Amino acid sequence: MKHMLKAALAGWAATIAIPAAAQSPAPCELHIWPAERMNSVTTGLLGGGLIDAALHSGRDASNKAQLASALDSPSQLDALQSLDLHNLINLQPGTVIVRHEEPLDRKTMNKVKTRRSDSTAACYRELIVADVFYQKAAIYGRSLRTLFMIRDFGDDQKIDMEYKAWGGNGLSLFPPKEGEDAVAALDELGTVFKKNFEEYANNARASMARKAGK
Amino acid sequence: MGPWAGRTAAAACSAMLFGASAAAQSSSVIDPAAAPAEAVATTEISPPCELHVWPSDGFTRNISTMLSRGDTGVIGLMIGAARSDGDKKMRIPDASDDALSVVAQTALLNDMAVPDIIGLPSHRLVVHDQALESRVIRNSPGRIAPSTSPCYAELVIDDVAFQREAFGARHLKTLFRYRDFGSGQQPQRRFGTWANTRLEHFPPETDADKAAAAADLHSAFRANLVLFAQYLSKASHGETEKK
Repeated sequence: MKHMLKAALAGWAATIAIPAAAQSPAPCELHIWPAERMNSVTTGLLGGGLIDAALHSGRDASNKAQLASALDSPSQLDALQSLDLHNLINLQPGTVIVRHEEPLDRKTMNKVKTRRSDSTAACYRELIVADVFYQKAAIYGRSLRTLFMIRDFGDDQKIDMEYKAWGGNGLSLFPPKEGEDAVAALDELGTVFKKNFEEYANNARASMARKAGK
Repeated sequence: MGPWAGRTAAAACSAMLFGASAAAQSSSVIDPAAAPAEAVATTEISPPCELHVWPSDGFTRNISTMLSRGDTGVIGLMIGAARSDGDKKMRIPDASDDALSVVAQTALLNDMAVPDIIGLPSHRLVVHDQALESRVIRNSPGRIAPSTSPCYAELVIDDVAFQREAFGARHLKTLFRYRDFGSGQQPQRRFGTWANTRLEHFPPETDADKAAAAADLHSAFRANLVLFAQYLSKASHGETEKK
């Protein structure tokens, strides 16, 4: 009789547990912000410095205009969302991605140590694109480098994990020559931006695994 | 009534608002009333060719080099170089918001014989009064406007940027994207590039300079379209020679 009662209570507990489980916890959130800052630095045989910068200033200004256009905020966010973010940065299943179309003020990137959104999610992460940087060096050629930062806050306002690093890959088409078709070169920026994130994400996963193992 | 009907109406309204522009376009628009009977019959059988043009979403970018950041002589140049903290996408103050707003660009485009400039004189010009989102511009595989024209082309002004170089040189840069679909739904030809024209009076230093600065921007905007048409023509010749 005792056993029967126990079994009945267990069954009752199980039945009342079902609705509790059905009320699944609020999903995790990943908030993403695009970069505001674009930069282009061309160094010639002088190896950089003020004179080199002056010599290439026109070209760099033009490159910045093209970077800012091809990688405007929606394009950056679209590029990130077109990737498998869940696997790339080990997101919890069902994580909701929240887009922020307005970039953050770059100067506050490192100063602010709390959540950048008003979200009170119990499982909260941020992915911030900090910088987009085109570089042309006399020996190394042309590349696009991107600085990304992931912060994991867990359920509070304190950073549990942070990983900030550059991803960088070579360019073969950008910048286009004046008057020539620029579409492929501008599209290349989007492709390499995504490649940079994949490179960053691989390093981020390795870093997270190392930290978790400690 | 679908969204396209609204756009057509808006384009017509836009042409009415800018009466001078409508007059300027008349050479490139088929006018059934003025055409001979045979031509009218032909027009009724096959709808006219169309060139759809979209303005950019305003004039919001200030691209400057490190060296011009200080903009206060040699010391300013050196400070600018030392800071090297890149540039921000920012809204330019003064008259520029109005001078190259979506409405202003639409008026300028309506005022130009764009089909003639682009080398499509038989195409009817349809200037849209709303800018497209960048993802629509860059990711639309087919015609952006739901037109069934048997000879359809698009010209999108993707971006309009102000660029300031070292030692004060200022330019208006415009990114154009052109696609010619012919009678199909997939582009037969595409070409996009930047055109760049030097500015003399923009940005204005005082309120009294604002009119000249705005005129300078308008002039550069028109010049960039002409320049783009030259690049397009040059690329067409190159493609023909390759064939």
